Amino acid sequence: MTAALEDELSYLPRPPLPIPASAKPRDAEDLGKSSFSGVHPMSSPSPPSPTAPPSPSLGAGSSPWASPATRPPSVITVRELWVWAGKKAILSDINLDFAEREVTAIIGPSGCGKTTLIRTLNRMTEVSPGLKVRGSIQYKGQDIYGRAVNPVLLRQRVGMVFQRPTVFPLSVFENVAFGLRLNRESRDVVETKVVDSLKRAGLYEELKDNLHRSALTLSGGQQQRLCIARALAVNPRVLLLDEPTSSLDPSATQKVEDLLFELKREYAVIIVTHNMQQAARVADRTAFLYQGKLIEVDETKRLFENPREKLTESYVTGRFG
Amino acid sequence: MKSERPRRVALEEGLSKLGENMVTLAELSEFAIQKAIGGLLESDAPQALEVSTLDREIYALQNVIEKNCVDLIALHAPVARDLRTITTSLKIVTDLDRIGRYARDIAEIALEQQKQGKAPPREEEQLKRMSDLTIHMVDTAVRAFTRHDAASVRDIAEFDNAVDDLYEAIYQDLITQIGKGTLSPETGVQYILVCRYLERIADHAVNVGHRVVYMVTGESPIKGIGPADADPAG
Repeated sequence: MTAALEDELSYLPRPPLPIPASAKPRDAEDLGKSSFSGVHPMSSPSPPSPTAPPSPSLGAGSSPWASPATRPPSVITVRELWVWAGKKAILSDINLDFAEREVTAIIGPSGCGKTTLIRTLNRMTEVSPGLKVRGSIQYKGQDIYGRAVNPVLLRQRVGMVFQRPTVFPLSVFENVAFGLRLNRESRDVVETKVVDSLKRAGLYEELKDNLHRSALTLSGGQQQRLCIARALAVNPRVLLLDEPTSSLDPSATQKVEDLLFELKREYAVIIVTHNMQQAARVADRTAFLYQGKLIEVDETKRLFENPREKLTESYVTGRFG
Repeated sequence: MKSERPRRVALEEGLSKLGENMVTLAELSEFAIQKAIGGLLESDAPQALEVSTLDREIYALQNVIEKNCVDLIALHAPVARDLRTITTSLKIVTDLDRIGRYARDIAEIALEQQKQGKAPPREEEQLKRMSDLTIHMVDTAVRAFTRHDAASVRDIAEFDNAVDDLYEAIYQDLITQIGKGTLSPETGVQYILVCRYLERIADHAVNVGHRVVYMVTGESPIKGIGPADADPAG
């Protein structure tokens, strides 16, 4: 719990405060001026290590990540992404598109790099010392590791919800208002956005009579949805969910899954899950990672009905992992 | 990949049991056609009488297999090849059950013919060829299912064309005989029905073959067979 809480707090903005999100459009240019002064390895992309293993076969033609005409436009584009911890490649040559208004599930056995992958998408890898990142990740066409990008604003646009609920020891209202207050929103805006976010997260009806009760008194499922509401309050376009229901009972899990179905009408949702049936239930597309490599990405129906790769077949049918 | 080994023991056992039941069902269906045709062409009442029993067994086993499939889906949430095997089994049992019903219909005609003291039809040789081809098609489709062998049923539709041609030839011959008065209309219609049932059995064998291709490859050999073609928008 403590470590997860630190993770969540760690992306609070350092002074000076970034440009308030409410003053900026929700588009490509809204990642602001970076408060990050160091030169990140990704700001000057270099080719992968010559000693690195070759790209995996994706089994879907020369451009398996190409979007068919019917797919929504891509909001995050990952190209030739490599992540190293020392000399060990945690992710190898990942190429993936994440589309708007789609749920993408990332599945794979423990240690395959699922969590690392989503943490690269909003630069959360920067808070994990010792990780070296190479390649290109673009949010709406903008290199998220570029010098001009403010990681704090990036993390508002690309919000994250963790495996265990990371509620702050504050009231329900103040938990959701937290990011808004950091953005120095007016009282009216805070009030409106808190209520709106709680409604979007499907919590308002349950909690509207006492928004000032301590968030710590909520059930696990409510706490997790509160975390989603807190992420929604600062106008994200993408939600990253790292095994969001692994600590919840079936009923609370179902509520979160129902919520994802609603949220994808407006947001791109990327969910890491160990539960393959959950991926099958909630995701439009599913990506299978194994030993840091993207083995296959496809429509969820296709991947669970007739995967192209033997390795995927073995994994989804429970023959290993 | 050290850890790659079967781990879903309960699912594997369930699939194995399903496979055994499917083989038994297929054998019963094949047996039913052979007995029915034997009963007709050899004027062998005991053979024809067995078909009714076989048909009841086929129906009962079909119900068992359907329950097997529903249990496997409910308890194990199968995907990929496991799911395709189960859904294909669910579809094929209907084809095999229909084959059993047609066999029973042929056997009933055989018994009726013998009750009236009629000799086997003049088209005995052609009917024998037609039934041999039909039984071969059912056998090929069933073997393909049990062996997960898509290649062996790729050309099953060609056999079906041969059965259709035989049906057309026998039909014309019987109509001609009825027209000339050398065959009573009642008997002629019964033989036409036998041919029609064999032709329908061959169609079901083709269905089974195509579904086996889907089960093994995940791709449908023709439009309209298998879930992949069912709802492209959905």
